[in-house]
Amino acid sequence: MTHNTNQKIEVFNQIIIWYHKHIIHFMIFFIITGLPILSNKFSFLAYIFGIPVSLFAGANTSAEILSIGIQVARIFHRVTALFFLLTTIPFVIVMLKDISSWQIWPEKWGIKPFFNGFSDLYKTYIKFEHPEIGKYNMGQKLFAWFIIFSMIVMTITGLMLTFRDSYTLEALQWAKSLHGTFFILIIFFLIIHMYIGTHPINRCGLKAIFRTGEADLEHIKEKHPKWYKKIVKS
Amino acid sequence: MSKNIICYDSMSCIRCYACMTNCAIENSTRQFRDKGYKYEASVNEPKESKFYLTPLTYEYGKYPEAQKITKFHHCNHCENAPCKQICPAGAIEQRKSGAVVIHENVCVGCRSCIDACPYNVPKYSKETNKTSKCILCHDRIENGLKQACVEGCPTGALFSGSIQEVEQEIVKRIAIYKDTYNEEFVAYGLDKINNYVGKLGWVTIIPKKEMNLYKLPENPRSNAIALRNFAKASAPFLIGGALAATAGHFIYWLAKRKEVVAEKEHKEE
Repeated sequence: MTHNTNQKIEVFNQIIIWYHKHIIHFMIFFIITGLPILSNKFSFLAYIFGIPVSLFAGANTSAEILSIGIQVARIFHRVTALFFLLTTIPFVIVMLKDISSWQIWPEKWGIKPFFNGFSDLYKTYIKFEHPEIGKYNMGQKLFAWFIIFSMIVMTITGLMLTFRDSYTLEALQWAKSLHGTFFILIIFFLIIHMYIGTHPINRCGLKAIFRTGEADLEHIKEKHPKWYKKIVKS
Repeated sequence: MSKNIICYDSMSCIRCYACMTNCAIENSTRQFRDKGYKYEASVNEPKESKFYLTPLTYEYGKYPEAQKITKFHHCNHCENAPCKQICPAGAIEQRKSGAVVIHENVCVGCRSCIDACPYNVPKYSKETNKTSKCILCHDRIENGLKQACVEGCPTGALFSGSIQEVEQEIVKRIAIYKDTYNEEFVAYGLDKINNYVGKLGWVTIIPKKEMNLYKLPENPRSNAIALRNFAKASAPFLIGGALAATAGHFIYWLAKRKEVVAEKEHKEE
């Protein structure tokens, strides 16, 4: 079978594009409402929420405005969580149906492939070469697994903190701790994800995830040789 | 206003609970004073969450060697106040007297203080959606009065004052008890306990061998909340590192790209 190199290949299906767009909105809401709850260094965000509401609530002192702001942030945080769940549940069901076609599984297991993965990262991001990789390199795969794991942790701990009366104090302490710790880790990895995702070397992937969902076969041949071989084979 | 601390001397205590009664009365009348409750209502409708000093009784051993220990459960007014550090609404204040006070008018009822307290002290009221705990009678001590519990104590088992005054009295009492009973005594909370709580604003004199029976933890801390605090303290370095690394990488990429473009142009010439 011959392949036209101008052929377009579906990189992300419509549900992934739809979910990715919405998760960005949710993340913005989670971050701006979560930061003032996590640390009083971000109290200014609570004041931003509190000042307009306090006009109706009749708060006079700055402490009362902060308190109202935190209440508003907590309500927005929970409403965002509800919409996040409503969006994520159908997405997860659809994705799980296709679990075998996920390309975030390791190509090979073992210590040597693991170090080869590092070598590929070095070639991609430091030497700007195109090593023999599949659809995703090791860094992208690890990030994907981190996000899946951290979303599960955030959802479970978030639900525990929302329905506090059903859990022991110790369980709630760990839920609070993990919710905050994973929030910080997610921010850390999101900065790197956003940087690499919007970097000029990833222009094609950026266009695919936000607009077309497709990439040229020629591009795949050049930058994702292992994936290209799979496409040709199939 | 200098720091004011309380000491509870378990050896002088006769378990009359006058301190607890006085505390409850004081809090009921505070409702009358601060919340505009009618006086009758403020004393007739005692709120459980207003009992800031409560007895916890434990029994050890079997008859005839059975022993009953009554522990006084109360806020210890920690120097490092983990409840204050975790409160997102800024509802907890540490006053100059050392009193750690929850301002109920700004408390959002998130119960973070309960999660952070290693002594399980703050009480949450579903009715009001607020958390409350002992306020060390800061309103009284800032007006030259003793705390209600201290004032109610008939034997001097509860005493308060500046750190120096209380420390002097503690040293004196412990020396007497050591001589009398020929065993070790501790003043729990007089010295720094750990980084999580620091020193305590409520010191307890007890026989050293009874520390476990009194359930006074040697290392009071919540490991989970300590991890959260560590993550929070590390966050500026982690996020700063990510921003610096990405900015550094972008500059590196620009420099490399310049090299590639120059090389390409050179080849074309």
